[in-house]
Amino acid sequence: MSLHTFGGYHGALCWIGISALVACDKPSLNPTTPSARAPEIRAYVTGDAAQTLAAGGRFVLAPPPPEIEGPLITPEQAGEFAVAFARKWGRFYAEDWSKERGSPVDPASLSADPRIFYAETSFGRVPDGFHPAFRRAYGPWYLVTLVQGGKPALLVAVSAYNTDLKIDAHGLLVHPMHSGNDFHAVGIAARTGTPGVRPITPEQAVEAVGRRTGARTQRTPDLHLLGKGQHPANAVWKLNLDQPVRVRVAGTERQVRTVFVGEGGRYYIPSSRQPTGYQGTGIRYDASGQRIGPDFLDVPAKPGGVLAFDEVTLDAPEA
Amino acid sequence: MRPHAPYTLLCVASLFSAGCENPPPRSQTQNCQVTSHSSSNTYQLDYQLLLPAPCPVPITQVKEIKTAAGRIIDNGLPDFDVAELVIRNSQGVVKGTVTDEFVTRNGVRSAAPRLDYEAGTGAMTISDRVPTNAYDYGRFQAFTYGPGQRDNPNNPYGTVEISYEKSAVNVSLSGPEIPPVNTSQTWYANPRDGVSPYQYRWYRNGVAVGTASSYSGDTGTEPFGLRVEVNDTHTAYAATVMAVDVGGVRATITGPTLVYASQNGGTWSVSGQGGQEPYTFRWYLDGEFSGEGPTWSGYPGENSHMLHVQMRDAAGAAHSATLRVQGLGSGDGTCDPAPPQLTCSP
Repeated sequence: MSLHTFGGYHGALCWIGISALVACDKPSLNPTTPSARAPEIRAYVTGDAAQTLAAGGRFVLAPPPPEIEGPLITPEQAGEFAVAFARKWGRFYAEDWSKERGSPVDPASLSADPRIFYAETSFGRVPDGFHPAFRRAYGPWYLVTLVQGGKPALLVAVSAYNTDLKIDAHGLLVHPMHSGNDFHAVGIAARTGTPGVRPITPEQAVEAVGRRTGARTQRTPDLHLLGKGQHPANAVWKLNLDQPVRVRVAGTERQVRTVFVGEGGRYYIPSSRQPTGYQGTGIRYDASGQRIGPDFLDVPAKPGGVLAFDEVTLDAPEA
Repeated sequence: MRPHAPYTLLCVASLFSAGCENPPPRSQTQNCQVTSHSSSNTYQLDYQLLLPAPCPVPITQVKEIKTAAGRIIDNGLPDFDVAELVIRNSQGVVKGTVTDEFVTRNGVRSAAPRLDYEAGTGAMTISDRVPTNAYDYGRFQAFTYGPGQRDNPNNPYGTVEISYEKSAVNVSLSGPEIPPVNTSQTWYANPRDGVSPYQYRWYRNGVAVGTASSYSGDTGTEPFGLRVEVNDTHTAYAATVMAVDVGGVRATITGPTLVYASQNGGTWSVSGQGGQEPYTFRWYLDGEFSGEGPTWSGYPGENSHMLHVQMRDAAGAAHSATLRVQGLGSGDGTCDPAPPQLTCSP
């Protein structure tokens, strides 16, 4: 595993070595909200990426499509659902979230950061006849940062297919009778040594690659899910670079112009062998909603979709 | 089946306790007792059922929305694909389902199914005539499944009782117990202590005859049994019966059961129902005829005596009623206590 640092996540660089020594009153990790001031990255962008870099140093990201194999909720709805989710289910999971964060999470005081990221899926259509949760599992997700006292506290992944969720008059989430795969939540690490997520913004991803390699990002980054069985919080930013960069994987070197950057400063490239889809378990339901039982599920990959990644080390250019 | 290491979530989580600020709020969790599970005990430890305490969860109102949540950890070989939670009521009706993919973060592969459901909706079946308890139960299951393989019988599961409610509803039946022959009559079910609306089932001599809150029918000429069963909104069940004596007559004695010789005993009355008036009444004391008419007065004697009345309507239909009466005092002046004295004074 490679581990690098960038942006405001300096603590990630050295947490392995010093986590045992970190004093409680001196957190070495200062996560920021997605809409907070972005790093200065004009030196690391060109082409479309430069043109979509708005005032404040943040990218204007492409909006999610209105539908993929069906309608999607909007980013604003995702934010509302994320807050309602935390309030409703926080009584069950707040303790876990607090441990992940390394600091108490108070579900009642969370609010959504306005910058919500859309993560694309590389899977195609889920066959009909299965519990509706399977469609959500293989579909796109939103990543919503919930803020507590101005600081990021909880990352809530909201399925973009959550079109049958409602919020009642009391602000509580109402799930449909057949639910699931609608949310994943994890505390955002507030200090070193905690198991929480260390999400990154596209600007931080661009800065990290630019500083390390000198390459500039030439297309506006977009977010991709890391693949089957991976928590949506593990999603990675896809960067198309203006020059090849050298990566090492499994003892070999390669030159690539596309790099994926994930939380905690991890770099990935598509595996040379890509599965054609996922074959595994589904739970079949009939048209009337009656459970039939487990059955074989085959979900194809989208054309050009990346389902398998290799984590790589990103080399600095030779002097 | 692959080995599955026991897992203790709290122990793992405690490694990450910060201890620098106030401790994080305790989740309101409860490890409900697993009432049935797959053959491997180790699988039980992979379930953390999160429910509002206490467990089982009491229901205060039928159909109220309850939440159930769980966390299932895939230890050992990370080969589970899907976790499922299905909530059924006591009749086996599915009230909610959730499936959750196992996802990996920081090397931990877990699923966290959670759902809402309407609690306590299980009604008793016809064959379950005794008012019992209604409950809901949830079944957690994790699936491991390979291409071309049908359902794996070794998939782990656990079943827990989620909620519980004691039957509270009662019902009484009102209406004519001694109606005339070949007349139209109505009987009423009077439920209480349940949650309306109620559902009713009427049976006459065991044959279903109605589902309304009352039953109207022709009496015919023969006695019959009338039974009503009531369910409240969903859960509670009660039943009662009435023996309907069609064309019958009935005599009822009213009067004291304890009398004193010092007060010359007491007075008893008899009333008649059913049949055709006028009625005639004949009184018997300990089997001996002692008078006619709707009342009888006197002292039956010391100790216990049987007061009996025979009623006959104009058509000759007869019915008898009996009352046991206790007499105090000899009646001859040797020992005749007066109330409230219950013992003899020298």
